[in-house]
Amino acid sequence: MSELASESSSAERPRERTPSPSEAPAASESSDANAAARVLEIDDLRVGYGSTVAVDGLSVTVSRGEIVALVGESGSGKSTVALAALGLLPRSARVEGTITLAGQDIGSATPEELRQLRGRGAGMVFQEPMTALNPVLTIGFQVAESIRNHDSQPRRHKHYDDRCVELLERVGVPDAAKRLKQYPHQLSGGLRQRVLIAIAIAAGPGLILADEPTTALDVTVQQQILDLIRDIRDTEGTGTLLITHNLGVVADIADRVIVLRNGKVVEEADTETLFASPKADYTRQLLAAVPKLGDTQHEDRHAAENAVLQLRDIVVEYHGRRVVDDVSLTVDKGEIVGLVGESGSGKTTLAQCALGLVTPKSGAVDVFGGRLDSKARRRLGVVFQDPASSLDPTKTVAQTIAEPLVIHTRTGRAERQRKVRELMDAVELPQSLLDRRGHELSGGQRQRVSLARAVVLGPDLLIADEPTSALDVSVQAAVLDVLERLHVGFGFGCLFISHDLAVVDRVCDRVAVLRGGQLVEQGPCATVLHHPEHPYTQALLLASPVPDPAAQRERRRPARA
Amino acid sequence: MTTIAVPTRFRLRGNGLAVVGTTILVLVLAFCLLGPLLYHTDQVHTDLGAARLSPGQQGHPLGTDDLGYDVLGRLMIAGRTSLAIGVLAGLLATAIGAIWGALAGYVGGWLDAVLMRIVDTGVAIPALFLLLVAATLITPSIGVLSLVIGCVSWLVPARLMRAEAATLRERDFIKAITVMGAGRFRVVFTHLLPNAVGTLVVAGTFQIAEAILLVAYVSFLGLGVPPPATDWGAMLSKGITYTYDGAWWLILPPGIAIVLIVCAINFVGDGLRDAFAARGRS
Amino acid sequence: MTRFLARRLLLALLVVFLVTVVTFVILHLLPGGPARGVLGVKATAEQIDAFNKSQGFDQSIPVQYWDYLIRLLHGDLGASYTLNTDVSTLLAERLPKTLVLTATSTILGIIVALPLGVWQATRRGRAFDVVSTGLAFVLYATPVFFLSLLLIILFAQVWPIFPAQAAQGDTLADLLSQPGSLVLPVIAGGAATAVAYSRYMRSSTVDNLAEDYVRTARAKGTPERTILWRHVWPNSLTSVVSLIGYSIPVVFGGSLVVESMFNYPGVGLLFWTAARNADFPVLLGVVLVIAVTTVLGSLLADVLQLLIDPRVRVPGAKS
Repeated sequence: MSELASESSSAERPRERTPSPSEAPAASESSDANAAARVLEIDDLRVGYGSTVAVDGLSVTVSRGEIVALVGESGSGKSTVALAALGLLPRSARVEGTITLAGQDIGSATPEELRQLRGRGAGMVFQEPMTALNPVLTIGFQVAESIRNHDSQPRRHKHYDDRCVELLERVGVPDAAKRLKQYPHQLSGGLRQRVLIAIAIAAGPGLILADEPTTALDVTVQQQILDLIRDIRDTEGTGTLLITHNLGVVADIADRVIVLRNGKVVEEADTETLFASPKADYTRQLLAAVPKLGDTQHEDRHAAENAVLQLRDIVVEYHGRRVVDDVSLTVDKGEIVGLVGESGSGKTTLAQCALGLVTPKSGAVDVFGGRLDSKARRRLGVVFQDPASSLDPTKTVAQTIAEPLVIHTRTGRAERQRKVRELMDAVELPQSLLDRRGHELSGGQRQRVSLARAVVLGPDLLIADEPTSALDVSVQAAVLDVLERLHVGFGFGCLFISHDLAVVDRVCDRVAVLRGGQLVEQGPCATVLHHPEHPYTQALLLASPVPDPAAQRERRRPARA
Repeated sequence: MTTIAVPTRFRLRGNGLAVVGTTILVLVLAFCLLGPLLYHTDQVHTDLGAARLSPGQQGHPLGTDDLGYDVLGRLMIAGRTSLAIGVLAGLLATAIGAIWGALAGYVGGWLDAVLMRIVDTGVAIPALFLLLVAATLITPSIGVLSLVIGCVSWLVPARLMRAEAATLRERDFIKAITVMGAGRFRVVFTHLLPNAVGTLVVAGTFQIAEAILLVAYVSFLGLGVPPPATDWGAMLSKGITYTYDGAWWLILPPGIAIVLIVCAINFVGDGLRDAFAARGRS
Repeated sequence: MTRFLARRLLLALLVVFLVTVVTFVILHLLPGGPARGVLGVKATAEQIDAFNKSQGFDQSIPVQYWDYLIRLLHGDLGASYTLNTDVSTLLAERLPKTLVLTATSTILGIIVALPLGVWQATRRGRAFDVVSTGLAFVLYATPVFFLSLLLIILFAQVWPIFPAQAAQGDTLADLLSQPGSLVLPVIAGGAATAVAYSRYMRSSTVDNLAEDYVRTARAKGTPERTILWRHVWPNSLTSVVSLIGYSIPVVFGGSLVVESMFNYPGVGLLFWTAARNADFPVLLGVVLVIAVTTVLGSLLADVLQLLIDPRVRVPGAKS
């Protein structure tokens, strides 16, 4: 089975490599000390699969007590680096360059040496806490195993119970002793991520490899996990290689940043310098693409009083549990209303009520002042979150965009084609994509096609449920630009659902904040997002990290005190 | 984010099996359909004088059976029956299953519950038992047998189709177009069915293989098409009587023919499944 | 958990009820109805009328069905047309024998299949996997009667190691007195099960090896052997156990053929003889009993899954 956990083959590595500082013959006392402090050294790493190159000449060192961030968009190769550091790449990967973990060369390590390095040399935290734990084994077993794997005389798993409780308490899991007997599905996402961190530090590694550790979590939970990672660094002196796409997270926690693009290092600097004076164009673009609160000047567009969507006293229950609790919301003609909240806040359910996909237990849904009948549907456009399932894989782009025309009008073929071409321009897609199918497009292109389909009939109401959440920041920025231009062109009212306050601030005129199914606060963005009254809105705003280390320190001070 | 490449060797092997399957399929079809045009034998009149000749004797490459029929020629016309019933019954079962499952999965709610409990009931009664009860009530012919086998073996495709329809119903593209005013008819025929084609084609392929086996069982138990017509299962059934006399040529040819064709169709089905799965992923 | 069990039990009862509807309908679809069957083809119209009256067959359909159901509940499955006994007596004598055969071949089949599937998954694409996969396809395509025949020719004629016929006798003890005679029927009946489960287990193991939790286990230094047997194995097993319910009808279908091939005196052989003689009370009695056994088997598989899968056993986190 070791082929599945394949080791990089040393045969492909150049025989003569430049000696790393630790082996240099004339190393001075101080460089020895430096070398000892280095927990991870990657030198000129190249990883390829078949003809594609995932990582192209990356060098990075992480020392004790240091948090180094590896930043990049999807396809930048950042996750490959973490897997390579533990020799966890699939066998089909070609690996060149040297990786030294805890003073040991990964490339020349035997399978058994490699196994011992995993967990003891470096612990790893993954992105998806929901799937990273074994569903049929208890938390106690899984934590104990990570200690037992590195015990020279392994005993029964039960033997490690006390140490497991200590570890779980260390990472802030409440009722630690009780948790040992529980299974992963009984824990929330945040708790599972804490358990994974406990597993990562169980064998006392000098390094934590954290691959997007907070991406799947809500912002308030993200903040707690980042605090925990920082605290482990502060008390245990563990080095951390943090892999992330989120520049706010980087500004919050990293000491040093390496920006990756298509497997190549674009820029490396300490965090303050990188954010204050980015040198590479790509870094500048990346920073500019991140939506920031307060960047948008809000003009008062709340002039028209024709409501295109009115939700009154909506209550939705699933199995006796209230997921939307007495929420009222209005979208007027021409305005964009943001609906924000964390997972479980009921924001998507509320949008589905508006779309007629969910029938509320009580309350009224008025679309254009009436029921959502065929005539109303003609004036309604919709965009969903997941680019992968938003387009019918058996239809071409042209067919997809034209479909509402076919349903609601008797437009002729030529006229339809003209209209589709016009919209391709409007969403800034090349006409050459017209005959492609969904799976041949990138995520950003798919969301543009979804937008084009949504506006082809010139709707009066657009409902967009997290339309850019699955996209990289630079793609997100471009898609939001398109959305804003379409809005100016068509003048539709829009209900815009998002978990990202900065995106909402950028796009929306008004905003409503949901928490646990209840409406917490609602009003113009300028008021709610810049001078929030409700403590929850304030907490939410403070928890969303901004891509500015100085500002972020300032914001986090009260929280940490 | 990390792409784990599938080893190419594995993918090739999958396609390789499909190619082998298709080749066998074409050869067997040619053997059954074109064979009798080139190799003339009398498969209607018995010839007791030339009964149970061993292979090679008197110009019979595979010998003759207890009634003097040439085994090679009989293998060809028996194959026609087996394949015809297999294909007809397999397609019928898939069609019933597709409609049943699509209704249950797409409409959902109480209709889903009712339709699927009926499927559960059908599953609890082994098809072979139902088939034998039915076979005692009817006079078997190719058409009737296809109908009966089709009607007792649609449960698996129905379950597959239901799962597919229920998943598709929740996909964003179906929701989006429904919200924007597409009617049920449009959703089912322009979105649901085209997307379920892969599942249906694969299910249909396996169903044909299954049906060929079922015909063989029915005939083997003596309830197949009446003589002088025959099929592979019936040939085998007759051959058993002479097992102890070492008349292997009465048993092995029809047995191997069944194994070969069912195997080949399953190879093709497996290849198709891989191909459709790859299309969905890329 | 109790809710889950109660729901399953209710569904099982519903399915059993629907099966009785099916058998009732078949009984009434018969040409001439049940009377013709009992009295024979030469019976006059008067005789049939009299019979219908005495049996309550002149009542309305719902009343007749109600009577039928009440009789079933009392264990009265009618009398055989040809064997001059109660169907229930026949079944009581035959069913245990069939259960011994099917249970043995299923359990042995699964015991062989599970580790085989795991081995194939861990040697994906290598000679062992390719050869055993090819064999699996061939075996899967082999009708049970052909396989039985080959086994008889090979192991009872060419190398006479095992008898070609099951031991005869009225009791289960008679049958078990010659265990050697059970070997070939068990192999013939268990082969299909073994093939199916090894395929399920192979693909389930391959899928599970690609799961995130395997990466986590590997990243904390868990040895590969432990990953396979402590982490992957219980996960693959839970998905395979849920399939046991589906395979029970297939096993019974197979036993029908196996029993007639090896002259094994079980329910299958009884059914086969009844089918040739158009003995409908026996046919429907067998169908009913097999269906109920299948439903019970599926229920048992569900309970088994409940025991090994904590996600079903323990309620999840709120939210």
